[in-house]
Amino acid sequence: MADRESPRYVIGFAAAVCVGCALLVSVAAVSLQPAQKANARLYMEKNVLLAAGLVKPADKVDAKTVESFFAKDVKARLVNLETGELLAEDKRDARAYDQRAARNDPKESRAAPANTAGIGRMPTYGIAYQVLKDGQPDQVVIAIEGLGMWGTVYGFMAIDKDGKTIRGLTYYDQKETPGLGGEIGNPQWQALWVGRQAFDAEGLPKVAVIKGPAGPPDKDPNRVDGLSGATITSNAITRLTQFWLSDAGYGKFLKRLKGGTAS
Amino acid sequence: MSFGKREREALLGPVLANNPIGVQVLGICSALAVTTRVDKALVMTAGVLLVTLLANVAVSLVRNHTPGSIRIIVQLAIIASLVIVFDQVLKATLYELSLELSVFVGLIITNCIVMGRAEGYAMQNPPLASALDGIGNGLGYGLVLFATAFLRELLGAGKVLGFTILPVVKDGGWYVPNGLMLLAPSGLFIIAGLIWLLRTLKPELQEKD
Repeated sequence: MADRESPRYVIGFAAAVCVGCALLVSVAAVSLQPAQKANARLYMEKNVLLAAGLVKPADKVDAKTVESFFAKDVKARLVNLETGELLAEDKRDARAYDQRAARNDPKESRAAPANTAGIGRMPTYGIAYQVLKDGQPDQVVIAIEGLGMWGTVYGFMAIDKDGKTIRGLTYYDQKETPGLGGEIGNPQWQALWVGRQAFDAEGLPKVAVIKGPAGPPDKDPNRVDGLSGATITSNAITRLTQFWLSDAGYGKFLKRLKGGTAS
Repeated sequence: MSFGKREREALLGPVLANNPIGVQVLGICSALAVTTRVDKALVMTAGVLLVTLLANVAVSLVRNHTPGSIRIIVQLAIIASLVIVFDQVLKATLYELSLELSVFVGLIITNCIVMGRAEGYAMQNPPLASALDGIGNGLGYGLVLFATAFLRELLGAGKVLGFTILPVVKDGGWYVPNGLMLLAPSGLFIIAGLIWLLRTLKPELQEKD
């Protein structure tokens, strides 16, 4: 055997270790990818149900539970964000629509209007989940996303059929600081949004995360308790929520909802 | 290769007598973070056990070919690869748990137990003994994690593995949960208590000063 400390042997050995390790990692990543994607999708749809309050955070939710809700009470639809109109159901399978992929596809997206939420491009179609109760429209769940402190925050917001009362909120993908900004993932904090009013009297987005505690929804309808130690995340949440509630986002769709012409 | 004294010692030693957390005081940071619930602790234990086991075997297999000048980085490459694979498997099977554990699974790479055993044991011993040493250390780590998580989940949430043992007041029961148990300091109290207990029972562990 060659001298174990000779530079040639050391470099050769290091290269062999690297190739071996790289092979192991790539094989694992590639072969497990389908299962991971299915899990991520299931988790996303579970969050739609969470935002709508159809399941509770502590519930065990498997693929079958999600399917049973989507078969009956929850319908995925696509909204043309420019006009606020719903796309006919037979035009496209809304459940298979990938909003993140669409945002990066030049054919499916456009430059976003100037905003403070860190959104550069936005998709032509936004997903909206119609939630029925006893066969009647009850609420809609819209997708919200935007720049947090460390990365893009993805979530869902449920709005009542009146087009303005918030019924629930979840974030299913975020990288905020655990324990501080990461508390936006805490169901107890998310519950503080329930019952707040999204808009002011003129129909402009008003709901905001403030510094310090806010009052109960009936007395203090447009404000939500801030997260201590997480001012940047709190402000980012305000900005991205207001962006998607504005006319640049789902605003036009929500106004039609109020007028009863959305479906 | 036979299952002799060395092999038995490698497997059973680290579980109690030479426990990685209790005696070697390694891997404390993750032990504080992932012990709020028993299921988290069990998954973390599985991760550390598998990674220590496989890393020990791999390091031991190449120990006679590894140049001394780059041995640490070789161990690190092996450990890091194994941790990534474990993280990928977790994402494909227990997705929601993997979201909660994500940071800490990644930190198995820097868990002192794994590297400590690779450098301290597997570099000098044959693969079988190294494998047993890996399992033993994983079990020793898991034992402390399980005991801590059991106490914290029981006293902090009235549950074990999600099953209600002590019905809490919020759900109409009688038990007022101890919120401190869900915060990191309680993990320190419990682990420090265990180390104290172990050292009192085995006075030979106490350092003379």
